[in-house]
Amino acid sequence: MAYTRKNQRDLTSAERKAFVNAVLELKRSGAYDEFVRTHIEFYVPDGDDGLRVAHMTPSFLPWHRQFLLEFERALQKVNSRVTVPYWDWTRDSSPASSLWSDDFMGGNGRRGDLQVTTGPFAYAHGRWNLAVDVTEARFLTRDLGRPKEPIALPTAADVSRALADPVYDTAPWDSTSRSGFRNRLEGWTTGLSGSARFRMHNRVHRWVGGVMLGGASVNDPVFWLHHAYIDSLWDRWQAAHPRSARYLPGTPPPDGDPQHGRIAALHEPMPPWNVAPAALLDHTGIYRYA
Amino acid sequence: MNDATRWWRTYRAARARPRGRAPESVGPPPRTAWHLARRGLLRAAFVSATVAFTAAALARIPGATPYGEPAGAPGPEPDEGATFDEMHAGHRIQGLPLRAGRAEVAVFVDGRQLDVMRRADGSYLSSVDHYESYATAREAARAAAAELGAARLAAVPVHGSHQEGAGRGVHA
Repeated sequence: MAYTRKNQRDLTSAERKAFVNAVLELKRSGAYDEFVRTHIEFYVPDGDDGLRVAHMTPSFLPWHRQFLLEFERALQKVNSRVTVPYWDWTRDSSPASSLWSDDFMGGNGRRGDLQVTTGPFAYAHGRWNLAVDVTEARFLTRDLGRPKEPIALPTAADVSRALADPVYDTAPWDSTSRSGFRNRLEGWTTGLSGSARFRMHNRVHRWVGGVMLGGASVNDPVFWLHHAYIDSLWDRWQAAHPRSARYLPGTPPPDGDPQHGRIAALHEPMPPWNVAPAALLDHTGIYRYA
Repeated sequence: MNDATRWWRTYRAARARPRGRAPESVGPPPRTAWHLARRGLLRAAFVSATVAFTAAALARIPGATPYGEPAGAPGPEPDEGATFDEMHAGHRIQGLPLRAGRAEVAVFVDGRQLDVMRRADGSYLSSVDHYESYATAREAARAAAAELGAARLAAVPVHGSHQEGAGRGVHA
């Protein structure tokens, strides 16, 4: 029977605690750091040749869907009742949101070194040590809203604009795709400056700041809540466009196409799980969003 | 390991990113007035570092075709924004083009390698700042320095060395 992923704002106190405890247990066992490594390993930008499955690519959505499922399965081995909650950043758009409270994600980083000093993931509490990171710092960092040069989270109107695009993705199937739901949601821009460069998924990483901005963004547990919401928006897009192809491209780009061999078409398996996007288009038998 | 992953890792292993030590110090942080005049000297100092990079850089040349410079919008010249040595936001940032023609660049912050990647539009992003990109490697390095604040890069870059065994991105 399918389980439910809830809006984090609707979790009971016991559910919050269960989620946090399961995450801390994965950290203790070392399993969590493997997720950090996987995300780093598969961050292949579109300026590289070779296959890219996680970012700047049509399979951005199915790859992260499977990544979330793997994480959720690991959590459920610790506590079978736990599911990944989602963070609707169009509603909970302030550092004052209960998302950042001491019994859940913990608060903002302190000024100076941006170290998160409150909540279960504060370094001083001894259970959240960044073993795999871009910097030497072993503590979690955040810079919510980037006060030095403030940036806002994407709005409901921004989400609506992305959802309105009836095409899943378009050539050249990368970060320069000018239309298509996938890149509108992933949020790459070209030729813009200042805060206008950041859109949607990318902008949320920037808004949280600290480790969420870097290659080791998975070190911040809010990564999962952010990506669960992104995953739910893919559902909403499918529901809004029942006659659109649910995933594109349907067939691999032909020999001679610059993207030949570099992206996963509908039926091509994505590493590291050997799962094709086609297998991830309908998750209703596994979970649903409340 | 499944086939897709094996294929992927084999492919990546064949083109591991060049890495190495930052160039030896060539004196105090440059001041703008003599920065340009020093450039020749700086390049000479880079030569020893280049030797270390060459093997890795050469290893990835065969069959590699530049991709992603959109027609009519060429990326920056290889050297523009790729050779630099300056202080920014309290960090020393250095850039070294690895070879002409493709604007491959090695970037260091306080002597430690900053992983720099490229987007299809020719812009640069770094491991510190993965969700936006910059027109030149120098701008990406400056942004990373500003973002680092008081922190220091890890001794081992987190990217691309999975195939090289232990120590990947783990604090030494």
